[in-house]
This record gives sequence, C-alpha cells and structure tokens, in this order.
Amino acid sequence: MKGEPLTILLVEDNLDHAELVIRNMEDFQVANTIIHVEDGEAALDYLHGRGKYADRQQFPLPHLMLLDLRLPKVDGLEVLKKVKTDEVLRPLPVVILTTSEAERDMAMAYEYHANSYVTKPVIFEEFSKLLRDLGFYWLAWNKRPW
Amino acid sequence: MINDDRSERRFPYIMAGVFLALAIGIITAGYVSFQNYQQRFRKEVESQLSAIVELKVGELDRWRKDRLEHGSIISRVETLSFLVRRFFADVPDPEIRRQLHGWLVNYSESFHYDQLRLLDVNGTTLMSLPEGRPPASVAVRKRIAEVVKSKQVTIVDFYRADSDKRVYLTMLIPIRSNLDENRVIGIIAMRIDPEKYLYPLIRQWPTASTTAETLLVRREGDDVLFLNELKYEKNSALNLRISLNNTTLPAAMAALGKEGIVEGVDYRDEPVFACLKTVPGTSWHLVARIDKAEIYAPLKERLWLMIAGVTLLIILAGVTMTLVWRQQRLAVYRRQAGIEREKGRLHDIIKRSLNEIYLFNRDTLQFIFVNDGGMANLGYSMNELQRLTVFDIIPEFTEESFRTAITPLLTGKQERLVFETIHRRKDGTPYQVEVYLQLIESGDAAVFLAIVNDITVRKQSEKELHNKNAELERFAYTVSHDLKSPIITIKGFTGALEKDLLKGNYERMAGDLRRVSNAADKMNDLLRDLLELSTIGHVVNAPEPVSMNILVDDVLAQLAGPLNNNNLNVVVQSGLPSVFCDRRRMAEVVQNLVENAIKHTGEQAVPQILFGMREESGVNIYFVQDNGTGIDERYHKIIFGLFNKLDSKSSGTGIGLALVKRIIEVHGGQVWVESEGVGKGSRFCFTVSKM
Repeated sequence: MKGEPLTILLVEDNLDHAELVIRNMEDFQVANTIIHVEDGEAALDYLHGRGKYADRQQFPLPHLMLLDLRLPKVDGLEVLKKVKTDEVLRPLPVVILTTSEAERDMAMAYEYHANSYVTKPVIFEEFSKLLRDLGFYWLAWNKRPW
Repeated sequence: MINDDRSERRFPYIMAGVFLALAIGIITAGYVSFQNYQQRFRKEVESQLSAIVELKVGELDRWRKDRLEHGSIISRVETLSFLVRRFFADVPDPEIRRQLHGWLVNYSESFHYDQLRLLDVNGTTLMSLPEGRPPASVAVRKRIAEVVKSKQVTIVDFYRADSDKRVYLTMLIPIRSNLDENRVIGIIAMRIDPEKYLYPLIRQWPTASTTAETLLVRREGDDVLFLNELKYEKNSALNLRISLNNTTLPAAMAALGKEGIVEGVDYRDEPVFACLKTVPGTSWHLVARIDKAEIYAPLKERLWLMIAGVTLLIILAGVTMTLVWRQQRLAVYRRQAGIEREKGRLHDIIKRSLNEIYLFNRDTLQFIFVNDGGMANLGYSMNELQRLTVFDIIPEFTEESFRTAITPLLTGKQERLVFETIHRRKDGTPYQVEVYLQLIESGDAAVFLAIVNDITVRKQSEKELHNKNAELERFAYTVSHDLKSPIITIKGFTGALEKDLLKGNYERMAGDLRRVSNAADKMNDLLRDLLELSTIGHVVNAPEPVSMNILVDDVLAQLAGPLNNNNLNVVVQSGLPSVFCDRRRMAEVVQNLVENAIKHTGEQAVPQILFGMREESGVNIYFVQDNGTGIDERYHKIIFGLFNKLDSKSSGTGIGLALVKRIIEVHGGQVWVESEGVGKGSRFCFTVSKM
C-alpha cells in the first residue's frame, strides 16, 4: 500500500445496495474515497470530467469502478462499452457488481472486456467478504494502471 | 404401365396364335382319328372279303374233290367195268345193257348229275341218260383221248353245250377193262349243271351288300374268261373275256395268279376292292369284289361327320377366343377410360390446389404449368407464365445462381430442395415463400416440380412470436433482478444491524430498519404490479362504449388525495367522444398516466395536467399532458419497458408504463410520449382502434 489516495467509483442506482457497499468498504479501509453515482450518465460524466465533475482535484480518475448493469438512463453495459473503447479510460479496472445472474449479461460484459464479473451475494457475510476481497485484490494486489 | 401396353398390343397376336394352334390341333386330331377309323374299317372289309373268299374257295375245292372222289370210286367198280366191257363186246347183250342202264340210272339219281353218258374211247355216245341225247359236245369229246390215255378221272371245265348252248361241266370217268387194268374201254361222262350248286354257291354273299359279288374266272390265252353270270352283265358266263393287259382289272390279276387283297377297277369301270384266290388243282380263280363306293359310303358319312365336328370345334374355339379377346379389350378400354378419368381428376385437383404448384422445363427452366393458386398469387396468366422462366419471379436468384442451386437435384445428390425465398408478383410486390423443389423424371421427360407455400403470414407470426419470446425473456430477467434486489437489501441491512448491535452503534439502526422495511414494501408492490400485468391479455372484460369524460372524472376522483397533496390542477377537455373499450382497463391506463404525471411534476411551481384529444388523419389521439420534468428524447422508447425507471429515486416499481403499453396494445392501439426535452413537460399519447 502506497501512501497515495485511492478512489473507487461506485455506479449503483439502488441506494440501499450502495450504502451496503460503502459501509463495507469503509469498514475494511481499502480506499480513501468512494464516489457514488446513481446512473450510467452520471458515471460517464464523472469519468470524462464533465459538468459538475469537471474538477479533477475533487473528482479524480478512479482506480476501480464497481458497475451495476441495470441502470437508469444509460445502461451499465453501455457504460462499460464506452469505457473500454476509450483510449484513456480503457485500463481502468471495471468490476461488474450486479444482481443479475443471467448468462447473457455475463457474456456481454466479458464481450465488452469487463475485468471481472461478480454477483451480489444474498448472504450478508459473503457480501462483506466479497467486497473486502475485491478491494484488496484490485487496489492492493493488482498493479494499478495509474 | 409400359409393359402393360406392350402386352396389350401383343394380346391379339397371342390370341390368333392360340387359335391357330388349336385349329391345327383339332384338324390333326380329326385327321388322325379318321385315318384310324378308315384303316380299321378297311381292315374289317378286307378281312370280310378274305373270309368269304377262303370259305368259297374251300367249298369249291371240297366240291371238286368230292366229285373226283366219286368219279374215282365209280371208275373202280369192277361190276361196272365188267358190264361196260361186255357192253362194248361185239355182240350186244340186252341183259348187259339193261344192267348197265340200271347202274347209270342209279348214279344219276343218287348224285343229281344232270346227264350221264356212256362213251366209247372215241367219244361216241353209246348210252345216255336221259336217253336219246345228241352226241356229246365237242368240248367233252376233245378230252376223251386224254382221259383214255391218263386213265384219270377228269373234269371238263365250264363249257357251252353244243345242243342247248348252256354252261355245263362234265366229269369224265375212265372205265377200265376188268381184264386188263391198263386198258380203258369206255368213259362215263357225268354232266354237271352249275346252276344247281356251283353258281348259287358263287353267287351267294353272306352279308348284306348291294354291290358285293363273287366271280369265277380262268385264264384263256391272253384273256381272262368269266365263268359265271355276272351281277351287272347278262349272259357273261363263258362269253365275257377281257384282255389280261387290263392290269387294273382284279379278274385279270387273279387270272395271272395274284392272290390276296387288291384294289382295282372292275368290268364295269367301277373302283373296287377285291380279294383273289386260286382254287387249288383248277384253273379257276375266285374274285370277291365290292365297290369302293359302297365301302366308302359309311366312311364318307363318317368323314362328313368328322369335318362337321372339326369345323364346329374350330368355330367354337374361334368364338371362345373372340369372346376372350373382346373381354380383354373391354377390360383394357375400361382401364384406359379409368386412367383417363383419374388423370382428368388429378389434373383438376392439382389445378385447384391453393398451394402454388409449378412445373418447369429441366433445361430451359421455362414454366410448363402453373396451377390456379400460383397464377392467383403472382397475378400472371398461364400464357404470360409460359413465356417466363423461374428466375423471372425469384429476384433473389440470377439464372446462374439458380442453376447452381438446383445442381444437387440434377446430379441426383439430393432428391428434394427445400428453401425460402421471395416471389415477385406481376405488379412487382414481393411475398415470402417456402419452396419444395423436386426433379421428376417420368418416362423420357424430366420436369421440375415446385410446390410453393406463401409464408407471409407465417413469417409475420414468427416475428411476433420472436418478439413475444424476447419480451418474455426480458420479463423473466427483470423480475429475477428486481425481486432479488430487495432481498439483498434486507439481508444486507439485517446483517449490518447485527453488526451495529454488537458494536453498540445505535444511531444507524433506525435508518437500517427503515431500509429493510422499505425493501419489503417494494417487494410487495412489485408482486402486486406483476400480478396485475400478468392478467392483461388473459382477463379481458367485454368491451363496451365508454364515455371518456365520465371515465377520466372517475379516475381523478380516486386520485384526489395525491393530486391535492401536490397542488395539481387537472383540466379535462369537454365533449370527448365515447370509446369502445374495456372500461376497467381503460381506467387503469388513465390512472397510470395521471400518476406518472404526478410523480414527475418536478420543481414546477404550478403543476398542471391536461387530459385531451386531438384528431390526426381520422384517428382520435388521447393524451395526458403535464408541465413537469419532461423526458430526454433518448429515453422515449425505454420508459415503456418493464421496470425501467429514469429516476432511481422516484417512487413506483417501473411497471406502470409497461402496463399502459400492454393494455393499449390489447385494445389494438398505440402509446407513445412526446416531449421537447428536460424541463419542458411531457405528453403521453394513445390511440384505441375502433373495435
């Protein structure tokens, strides 16, 4: 762990789920900042530093994106596609964190080069463990692109 | 079929052959049978003739031998010899004469001789019985010397007497001297009248016959001499003589010594059968003859019978054959007529089939036949089609690509091709078809047969089914997703609560509990809405004319609470036309649209809702218009999708608009949204088809 601040972008329309993720992440202190947006449009705006997210000091590029698939306005898969076709954003690790266990969703996600695909466990303990492991893996073990 | 035709054509020849064979068989059988019969008959006649001849010859022989025996006995009677010597003595002795006369009388009476004489060795009659007879005939006297010399009893053959010119035989008995055995002193001549025994014997025929006759002949120089009276020629005895050169004459053959059965022509120039035999020890030949005509009469009769029988049989065979042939022809005609009728019916059925049926040339690919179904759909007449080729009506193919496509059929690699393509009608419009293509070789001709189904309707149904399946998939997906979400929330926050409880972090617990409760409520709402959605299309109430104004007013009355809470002002256009629809469902549509408007009033100070109607090209378009947040054009489609929400914070399950869409679609209408963008309000429009 380097001393630099690590940022996670959480794209989740379900506020309860977002709260659960944030709480667990905070408990394990895997990241300095968790930024939560509720739809795909906001996620893209953030990543591109558009609109209210123009200030990169306040809203730096995240080191990990947790992306739900079913999102209002712009769908999660669409966000993923945009990220992975963007020359700058492409290296950003994108972990699909979704309720959907549909094989089609998983297949599409990998098709668009998702870095990982996990479904939200119903059991709370597992949910916690998953988020801890995700955080440690992608932010500690994994060599970050930036 | 072909074999049948050939055998049918051959049939008359077979019949004729059979008839010919039969006729030949019948004729041969008749001929052989007749030949047999003829031979048998002839044998019978021959044996009859032979028997008669044998019998008569036997009798003649016996008669002669008897005569000679008698003569021989007489010639040895010594008393007679003595008397004759004494009689011939120089001195006549009346006693001797008397005694001699007595002997002669005795002989004459005992043996029925016609005439007895006592001759001296010169042939002079010395005594005769009856008395006073003229001198013996020359024929007799000529033989005296011979008898004297041979001292043998001799019979003088048939001769004519000089005196009465009648035919007689005479037996000459030499009388020897009782003193000198070797000296003949006189001759006793016993005349035999053939009429008494011989002629009747010869004439007599033991069976009933009209032409049969026995003749006795002898050779005389180069002639044959007939010795008895003939049946058909008077005064023939010893008069009729015919040259031996006449070789066909049975009598001549007999005279030449021939014996047995012969065929010939008799003295009357009549063809005859004859049996010849020589009487032993004589120059006589017996001829028993019978006219061929008589023999053949029954044969002829038989022949005619046979011919009649054979003819009848042949006619019968012919008639039978003709009948069989006719029957066969009739069967053939009937079958052909049946085939023709069947062909006609088949053609008619194929012609009237609603499936499109095409026949086209294997090589030119030109149409040969198109049935009514094909012509009706294409809009071409048969004449027009017959000038077209297959690839003229299938725009997806060129001639080359079509020929390539049908190669497997031509090479026999495949028996049938099934493919989908597009047909182009005469007016240029296309329709989708499914084609079953087959190459049929019938006899020496080969044609393509295409049975074509117009699958436009099917394709449309398939597309609809596809859409429905896709929708169903989406539904299942979203249901599983959206139902699982609250569960995760509930489980997550109950876990968090436990943790907080352990840590004594009580401040968060109330909030966590509310989250759990809300999630449970959400699940409840979801289930209710899903149930509602699932009933659409199944539970449909009978449509009825519904006043739109009354319906909208009812809905607004129900929503009075939320409307008042949001300070909403609702305006309803008056005089809306009635709609023929399911009243309850239509109320749901209006309610959902108004509720949707209430949810998205946004920051508007004076939120307003307008329910109205406009007409566009004859279609009534109802709308619910608000001045709320509005919707970006990008989301105009997805908002009607199940569980789709633009704002995750807004209340509701995301089913409302999907429900509206389903109800309107069931009513045959359309629903859409019109909005100039965010903050500019939105207008949800729908139509209802005039059911």
